[in-house]
Amino acid sequence: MNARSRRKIPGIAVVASLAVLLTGCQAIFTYTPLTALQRSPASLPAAQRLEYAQNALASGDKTAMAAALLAIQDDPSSAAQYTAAQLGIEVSGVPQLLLAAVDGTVNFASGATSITDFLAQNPAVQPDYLIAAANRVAALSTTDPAALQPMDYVYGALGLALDAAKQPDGTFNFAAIVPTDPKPVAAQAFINAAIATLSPTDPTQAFLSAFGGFV
Amino acid sequence: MHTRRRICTILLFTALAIGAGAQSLTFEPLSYPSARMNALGGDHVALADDVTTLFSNPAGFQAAGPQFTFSELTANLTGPIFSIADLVIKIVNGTNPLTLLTDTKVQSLLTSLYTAVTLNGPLAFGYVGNGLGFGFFNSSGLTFSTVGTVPTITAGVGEDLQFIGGYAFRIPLPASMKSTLDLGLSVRTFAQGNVTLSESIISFFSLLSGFSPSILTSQPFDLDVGFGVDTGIRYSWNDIITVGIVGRNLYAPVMRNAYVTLTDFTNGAAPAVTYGSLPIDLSAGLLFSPRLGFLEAYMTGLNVMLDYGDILDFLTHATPATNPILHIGLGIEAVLLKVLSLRAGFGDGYFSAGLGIDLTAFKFNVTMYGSELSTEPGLRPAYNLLAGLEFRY
Repeated sequence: MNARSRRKIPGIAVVASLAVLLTGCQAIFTYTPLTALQRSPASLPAAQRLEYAQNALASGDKTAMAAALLAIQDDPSSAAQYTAAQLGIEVSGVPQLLLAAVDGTVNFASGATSITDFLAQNPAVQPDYLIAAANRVAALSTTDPAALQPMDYVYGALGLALDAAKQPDGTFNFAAIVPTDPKPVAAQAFINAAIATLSPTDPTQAFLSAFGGFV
Repeated sequence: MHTRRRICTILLFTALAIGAGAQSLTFEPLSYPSARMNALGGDHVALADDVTTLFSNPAGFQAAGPQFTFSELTANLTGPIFSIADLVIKIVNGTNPLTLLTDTKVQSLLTSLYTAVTLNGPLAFGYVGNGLGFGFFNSSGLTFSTVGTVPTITAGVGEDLQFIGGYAFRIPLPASMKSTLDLGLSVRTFAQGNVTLSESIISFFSLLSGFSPSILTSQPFDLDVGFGVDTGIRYSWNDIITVGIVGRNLYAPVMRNAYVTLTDFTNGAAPAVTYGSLPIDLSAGLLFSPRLGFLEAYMTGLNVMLDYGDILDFLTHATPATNPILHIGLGIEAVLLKVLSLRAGFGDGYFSAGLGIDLTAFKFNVTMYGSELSTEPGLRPAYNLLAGLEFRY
């Protein structure tokens, strides 16, 4: 290699570096042609199903979450029940609804005369998933409370309250709640236990206190 | 004499078996990201021409080098690192975190976030060649991950130190075979410290806005100490076709010392100790290095590699066992004018590309690649940018 060729090398290298940097966008390197080869979570051994479910939860992919929830919902282990609760909360659409309420794109008082009307206006919200998740959270609050995060108590309280308000025809009516019935009593007990468990400075305390009074 | 040696051998293996049986936890193996190997779709166990052989196959210590490494500075950024930095700067500058949460871009970002910064070096001192291989390496890392729409954030700060040493033997073969056969054995010892912080997003932002070192020192701290034995075999025909097989972590006990807080560790408090092991990893690979004829005036090397890594994961560590398709690694590297290396690959289900420049005083590498954070292709993709300087001679 002569001296002239050697002098050209840094220039070639810089141009090549820029080419790689400019064309190497995130979309190219996070594309895989192998998505169709994903295994169904139902076909995996139990331990791998839980692993899949935790990954589905972290992926933000609602379809994968729903499939993972079906695959692990009967696994009695504490880790599986916690993951199933998390998946149920996400698939229910309630977390997105809370954020939408915070930024004002959803208004709880916008023409809906009842919770049933409100749910009809927001079909992405599926309360049955939240109710099932809340019952899992309530069970975990006694068997494995260390696994729970403050927001789990908030979703748990919401789900148990919805469960208490659910009527035999599938509609929801908070006015029909009889405070001495087992479900409202369980919801109130859960909220009281959550308030006692969480740190007094935790931001979710105020919500739980207000919600406890409502139930 | 022979009987005594046999008894000693039996006792040694019995001790190893008891040790293995007593282990309860499976730890994640240490990673040491290489700009070159990640551009080539991951480790290639038949490739042995530089100090990365220390991490890939001890049988390569005969064919690799001789090469010294004195130091290295390689940064690996994973995930949407720049978006996160922008978010943190806004919070530190006084923007209300709840206001940021109402931004749909921020919401989307936080729903399934995984981001990490890993820095290899500056400790990267080692040698490989003439059958011998050894090296001291350090790596530092910072990770953030979130789960959920109103997420829980997990942040981790870690530091790894490892020493690798081993030897490869060349088995004499008849010259008429035009072949070489090498067997290698190496031992790794390591220490890994991790501080982990897990908080709801609201509490996390509150912590960030009033950040002080005590936030870190009051978090749980794990110190893992262990060692691992690797062995490998490498057969090469005429330096054109090479086959490699490696068994990593054949015996790899790990002791975890869990401290309630980092302060407890610095104060010498007693940790909770648990034992476990690194999972066995059996990998195989093929290397094709064709003669280039008249092209050798311009292209001084061409390597094409195909590997299947961690073949027995479904047996040796079933819990994080990944889809078999993710075990395939394919790479191609062309060296132009002895200075510029162009690399491309496919590994972990994603494409990769990079280049390396040998500037005599140091080597500069830049790589972009995708990686899969889950066990299935396409479920949790992550973008990686890796750039670094290697002081190797």
